[in-house]
Amino acid sequence: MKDIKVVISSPIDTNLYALLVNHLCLKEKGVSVSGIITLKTLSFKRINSEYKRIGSLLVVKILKKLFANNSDKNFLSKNMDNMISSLGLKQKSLKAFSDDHATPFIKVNDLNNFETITFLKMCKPDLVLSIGSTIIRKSFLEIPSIGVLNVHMGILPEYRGMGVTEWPLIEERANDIGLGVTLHFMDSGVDTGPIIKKQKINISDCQSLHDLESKYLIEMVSLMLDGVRMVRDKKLTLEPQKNNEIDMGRQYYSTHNRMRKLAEKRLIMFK
Amino acid sequence: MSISKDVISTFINWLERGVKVENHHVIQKKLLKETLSYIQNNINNIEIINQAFISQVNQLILGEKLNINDFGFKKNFRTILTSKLNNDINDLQRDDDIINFFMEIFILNDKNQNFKLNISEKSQTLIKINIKKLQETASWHGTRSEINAAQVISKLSFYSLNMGILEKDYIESILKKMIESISPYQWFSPSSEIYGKSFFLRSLIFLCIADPKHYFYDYLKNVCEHLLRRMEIKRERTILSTNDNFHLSTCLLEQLRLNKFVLESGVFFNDLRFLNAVMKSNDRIYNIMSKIKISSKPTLNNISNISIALHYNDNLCLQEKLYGSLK
Repeated sequence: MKDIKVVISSPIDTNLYALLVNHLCLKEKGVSVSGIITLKTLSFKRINSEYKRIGSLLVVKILKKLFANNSDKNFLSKNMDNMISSLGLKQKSLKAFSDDHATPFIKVNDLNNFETITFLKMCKPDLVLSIGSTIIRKSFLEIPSIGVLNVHMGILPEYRGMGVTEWPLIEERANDIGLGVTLHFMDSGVDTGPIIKKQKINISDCQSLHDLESKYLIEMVSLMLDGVRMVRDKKLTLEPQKNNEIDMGRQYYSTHNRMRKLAEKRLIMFK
Repeated sequence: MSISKDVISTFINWLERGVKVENHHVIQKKLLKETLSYIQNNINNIEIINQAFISQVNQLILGEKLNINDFGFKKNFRTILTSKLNNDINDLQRDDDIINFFMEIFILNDKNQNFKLNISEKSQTLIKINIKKLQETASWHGTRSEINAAQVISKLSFYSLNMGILEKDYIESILKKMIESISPYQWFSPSSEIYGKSFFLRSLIFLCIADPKHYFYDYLKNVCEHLLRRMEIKRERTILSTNDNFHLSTCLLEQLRLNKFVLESGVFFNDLRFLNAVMKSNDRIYNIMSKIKISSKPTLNNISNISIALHYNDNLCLQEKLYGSLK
């Protein structure tokens, strides 16, 4: 049986989630990584669009990233540290993976531009594993023979969009809908593609939102790999999402600091 | 190394501090204090409309009417207002008009909720003739004059529903006709002018609150979803500033009206995303609000700033009431 070919698309070269997914895909039988795409961190277009989106908080984001990349352990939880060492992840960048395994690699300004599309066509992927939450257009989505997989940091279809680790707590729906991650195929909407699998997260031992968020990474990596295996073993079952504004889950947006504090308070009370 | 990390960490915390609610309260108090000072210095202004304005502002802030000729509202002011609606209906489009400011402040005051202007049938007929003329051209995505006509109809609908100028059924029919010409997805499209839409949307929600099964319910829900997207994804400080050529205070006032609409929608649809969006939106206008000053001179600029201050106060009070109820 032929290997399934996957391309990994990451927002930055050093994204831990992408590094772990790539590392585990390389270990997986019947799976080959045929290409890696990352976005250029310092492209004017990207900085400009991020600035328009989050304003001066962009400086905070950059500083935090620089800090985390300097291995400041305050930014990584013990769970993640343990995971990294137990899996034997040594490379600190996707470029290093590409060099070690002769995997085609490209840094682009935009995931939807001509350069990316040309590269992707050359890789002839069965699957693209999307890391991060960039909007991907139809021209990109149509290239992989099976589709583009994404793990969303919330339970679908109820919690689409951003800040969905906090919103179920704010809305006091952590009991009925729960907190968790959802593996789904991407389409042109925001988290509206067919659902493959959901994984709830146990929040009983979380002391803070930071604790909670660190659990997400582990579950997201695990769910993405489940998805790759399901495709390889032809065991996919899909649950389409309803395609109208009334029945579809709400789209959420990033939370105000005070809403985030409320979520944290409710997380502690939830226990 | 650890010192530099501490410095960077402190710097990050400083950048992340954002605008605190206490910062808003400082501005809120300062503006209300300046407004009261304006009232004290202009209490002897003999113009009916100024008396009416000052009295309403005083009642809104301190909860008490001023003893100034009962501000002539019952007789003289009704005459002025009716005459304006009969003859200068197009002036409603402008924000730099004391009658507009008065009506908005009047509506902000909960105590005036059941007020009815009770204008004569003859005047009502005249206003309806004017509206009919405007309806022939009114469009949210047309030429300047067509947009102006839509803005006037919007304001008049909102004032009518809140002050009983024209019958509710008549206003409903006007609104119904207008929404037939614009889909929920076009309201906040990037190229469209936003100014004036708050009045229209607040009219829709006014009717839906009165009757939750109203014909406008689904339409309003879709419009709200798109407004939310516009506020959250295109994070302009005031959403009018990029496309519309209005004065900053006009943009700010419209933003505050829209924020009020969004808060009302959040309550109506029982949806905390709207409160979240307004909290961010209010933070975004903080810097502009902190530069506003109200002096004692009876200028239109001061009256405009008083209106902004009272809308800001109203927004923050509702925001904090809603946030407080979550604890």
